[in-house]
Amino acid sequence: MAAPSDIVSTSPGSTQGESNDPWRRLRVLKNHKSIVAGAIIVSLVVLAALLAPVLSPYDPIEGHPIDRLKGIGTPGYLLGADQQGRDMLSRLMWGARSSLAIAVVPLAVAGLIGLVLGSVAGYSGRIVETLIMRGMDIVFGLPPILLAIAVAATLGPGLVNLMISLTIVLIPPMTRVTYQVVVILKEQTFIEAARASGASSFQIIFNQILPNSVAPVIAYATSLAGAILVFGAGISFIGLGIQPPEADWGRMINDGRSMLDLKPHVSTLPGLAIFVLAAGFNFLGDGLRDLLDPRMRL
Amino acid sequence: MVAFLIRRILFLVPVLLGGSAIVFTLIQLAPGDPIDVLLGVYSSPESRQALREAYGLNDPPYVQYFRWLGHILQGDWGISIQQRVPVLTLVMEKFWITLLLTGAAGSFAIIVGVGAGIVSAVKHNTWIDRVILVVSVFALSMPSYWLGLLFIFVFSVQLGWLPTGGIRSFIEPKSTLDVIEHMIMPGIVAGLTPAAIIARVARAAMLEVMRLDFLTALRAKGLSEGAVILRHALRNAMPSIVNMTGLQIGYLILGGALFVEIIFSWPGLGLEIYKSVVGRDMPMMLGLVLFSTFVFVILNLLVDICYRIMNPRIQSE
Repeated sequence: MAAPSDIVSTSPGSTQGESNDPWRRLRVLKNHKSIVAGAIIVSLVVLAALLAPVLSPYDPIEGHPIDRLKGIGTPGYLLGADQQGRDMLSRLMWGARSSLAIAVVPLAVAGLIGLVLGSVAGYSGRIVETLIMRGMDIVFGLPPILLAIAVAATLGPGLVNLMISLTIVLIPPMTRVTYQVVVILKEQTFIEAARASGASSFQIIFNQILPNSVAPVIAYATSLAGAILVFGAGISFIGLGIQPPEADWGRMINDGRSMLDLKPHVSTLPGLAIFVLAAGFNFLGDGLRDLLDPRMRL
Repeated sequence: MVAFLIRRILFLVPVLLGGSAIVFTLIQLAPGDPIDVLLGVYSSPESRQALREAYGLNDPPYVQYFRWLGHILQGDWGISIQQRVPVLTLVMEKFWITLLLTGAAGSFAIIVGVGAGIVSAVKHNTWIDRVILVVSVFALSMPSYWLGLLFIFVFSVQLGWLPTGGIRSFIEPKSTLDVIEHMIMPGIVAGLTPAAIIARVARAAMLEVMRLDFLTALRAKGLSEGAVILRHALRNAMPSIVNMTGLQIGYLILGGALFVEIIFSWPGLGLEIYKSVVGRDMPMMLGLVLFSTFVFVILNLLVDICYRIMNPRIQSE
């Protein structure tokens, strides 16, 4: 996990001489190949997930025992079949849904909570700041992977519980990164101007601070998405996440473990899928960070 | 520095109390009952009741929490419900085994990460730099539980070069070479993601330093490029590298190694945590998480102190 301070930008948003012409904006992307690569990978996976009911050749749960463990390229089974004769391609397409949910939903929810908590803590200072930030430090002081596993184990297996456990772990870093952005923003002259014009703290937080901290927080969240996907699928892999017979990439790796030496495609294909989607998120995250904070360009 | 130390050490107390309370609450909320695991669902109510009393599971949660905390402070970490061994003994024993794996993974991550970071910075904007960057994104995106399986498939099953898992073989136990053989694959797999993160931080830190004028002055003085990079630039980039490396090793011991331990049956903390979660072994799980929190917090403290010592500019602020 990168340090939150890595992506804090001091520029308050859209003041970098951008034009309103959408094509010119798109041309900017030419210099950000990593955004393009990441966006293409992630969009393809999103498309596969959305179109799974239409495009997937078979039902992801229904097995065809006679076709079990068919290899890659067998007629009718483009990517082979698993130990119950379920079509791998169909399961991978349906599994994309839970994988995307694991990566995106906890980050979105934790991002929203973090935005509010971080803005309030950063702007108000004093006791509120101490309470929120020291509270976050306590949760941050716990090993994150262990905490998520403890929460997932407590709530019991399932997609929703897995997402809750990941959200809990993500709230402290999201709050902290918002806080760091807000502490810098607070000193900017446009905030001072708003204050001088008689705006209340509430108005300043919601009308000035929040909109200006969204971009760096989204960039930070995107840079975490790959790691969260790998980790969330890992929790599924050890049996605490999504339960069979639902198609899920982490779970599928575990299902194929016992026949790794004979039919490696059963567990290597879903692993490859996790890897590719995580790489997509990481490219996208790197690119967004470069775009927002050229000082940190890699 | 002294004030900083005192403040940092005092902060250990709320973190440890808060952390243990969070985990304790979680376990209390959990459905399921350790008695089910021990006696089975169809056991007689009397025997269940007797066992609940014996383990103090009938008391209110806060009583259980403070009693447990009191015991912890006296070095009594309870008995594992599943294994009937003192938790602290087991935790300490497993900790060294995980530390061994972390040592292997950490060394791999530092050597490869710092090396790649330096090369990438020196060859800034060349194809070498770009290849290292793309490889680092791939390494970051690699699920260790998948890479572990691939390694086992290729190097153990297909090539037969390395053992599939465990810490030593049955045939020639207790040989150091044997343990090292078992350590190679899990060490590399666990060290890959930290290596990528360290490489990126090392590269950024080196680029930052290499912009500065004093390096030009050193070159003008006639110092060789190697000496300029390794003796002067690297030294100034060191605080950020050490900071990130310390954090990464913390994550590694207390989480990152978990999946790798499960895949390679490495008998450390991670495998033990997994077993205690599956078996609902509350004392074991609480002990493991508390111990991990303790190690994590101490490690963060050490990293902070190192960072301060290496970066005198912060001290004066």
